[in-house]
Amino acid sequence: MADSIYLDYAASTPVDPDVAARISALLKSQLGAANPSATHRPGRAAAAVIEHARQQVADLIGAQAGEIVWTSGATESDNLAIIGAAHFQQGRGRHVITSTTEHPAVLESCRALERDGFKVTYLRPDDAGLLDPDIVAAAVTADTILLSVMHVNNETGVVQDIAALGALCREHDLLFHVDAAQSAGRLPIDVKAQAIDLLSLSAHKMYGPKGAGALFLDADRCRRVEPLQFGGAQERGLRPGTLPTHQLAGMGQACELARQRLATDPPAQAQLRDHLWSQLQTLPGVLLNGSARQRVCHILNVSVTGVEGESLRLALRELAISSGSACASDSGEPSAVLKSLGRSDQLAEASLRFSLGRGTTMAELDRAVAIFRREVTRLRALAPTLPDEAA
Amino acid sequence: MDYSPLVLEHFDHPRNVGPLPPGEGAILRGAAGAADQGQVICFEIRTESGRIEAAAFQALACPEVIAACSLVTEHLQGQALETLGGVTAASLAERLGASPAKLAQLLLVEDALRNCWRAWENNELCVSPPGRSETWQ
Repeated sequence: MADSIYLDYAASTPVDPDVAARISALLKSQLGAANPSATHRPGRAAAAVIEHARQQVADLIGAQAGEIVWTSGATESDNLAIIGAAHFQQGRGRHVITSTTEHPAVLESCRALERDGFKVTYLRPDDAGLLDPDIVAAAVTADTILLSVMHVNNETGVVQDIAALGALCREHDLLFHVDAAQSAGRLPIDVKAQAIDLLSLSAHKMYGPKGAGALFLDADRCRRVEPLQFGGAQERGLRPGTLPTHQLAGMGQACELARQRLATDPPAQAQLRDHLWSQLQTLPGVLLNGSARQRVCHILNVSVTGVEGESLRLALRELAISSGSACASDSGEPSAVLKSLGRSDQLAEASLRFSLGRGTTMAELDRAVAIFRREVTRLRALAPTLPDEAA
Repeated sequence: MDYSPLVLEHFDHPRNVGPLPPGEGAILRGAAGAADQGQVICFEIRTESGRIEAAAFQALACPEVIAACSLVTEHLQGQALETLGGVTAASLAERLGASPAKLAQLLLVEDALRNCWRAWENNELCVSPPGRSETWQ
């Protein structure tokens, strides 16, 4: 990371030093060695550490500790929420609604449901990336059981009106799943006030360790889902497997830090994001992707005209940035999210996601912008004159 | 995606970026691809007495194609015009150490050079090199 300007916090954040110290101390201790399901003293102590972490996660989203199920990350949480809830609730109906701009963990879970005979409606947001609750309402049928919509889009940073969608779900008695991997620690989340029934979290998007995540299950509306794996009684049988004490303690501490910093981190990052955008758009042909108004503090997604996407990314290799979702950037395909927002293949391909975090400085952004200007100008100078440019 | 040192060298420091400056001799032009399909390249070849005096390129393209264009313009200097028809995507991929997955893109280079050769065969010569827009400068 020392040689790059790291602007890929939406893909993964560095582990907070206090969190890393906590994890390291646990790994070196007898408590860290013990299986938290064991009944001996170190095992019970490990279980207590995990229950404390569970409370810390719950406190970040306004939940009760007993409503949190540990997972390996948001991908597993999304799978468990969508596939598990749909199968558990299929006596009520077999129709699920989601949007075309969801994370692949949601879309692929929905496709798995379709292979099992469920019907899934994929709603297209408007060109700003926003999902109109009226369009969602129009898609609800007597067979609909679940709506899954992400709080903050991982590629564009667009923020959905979760409270309105939650209210709609209550009105139609649907379960409401929210992938909050990008919003936790950046936006206030209150699962009760926002009428959320299932919510996915990932530790490594909020300065915790990779390999740890959680799924909130509302105790009154969605106490059970069908498990996806079998072989243990951990997590009420919903997610069997030995719990990683150090990872979960790290996630708990990261959630507590995120809660403490919720009033200070997001406005500071929004200021940096706005500075970055003001500088990037001094170059012609730099287009903002997604709503300018309903946008999370740390993500800025732009398309660049007059350059080819792969060359743009190689030219900017001094910057640690992504083209769209890191989870999909190996596919070689233009971003399906940006295409859903009406971008052409070329503009979807020539897109960059800048994402900022606690370590980002104004000086770093200014250096990044200077490199961006230099390389975009260089690539455009290589390009043949096109008739519409010459006009 | 990993890139060979030769691709990186020519991508970072492309040689003979066109258009060709005004000078003696006839100019052959050959293009391939389309901007709305994501990649377009154009070669200009200055020819004198059946030999290539100078070659230049312009490219809106992926790194391997930019590198191939740069490399081939160096290679063509001083060669017989017939050389234009002998450059293949496969030979470029091998020379650059590019992935076989890039053969489709490198076919653009092969096509554009063959279009230069066809221009010669059809006697479609430009007297002076066309200008280019300063839109992005």
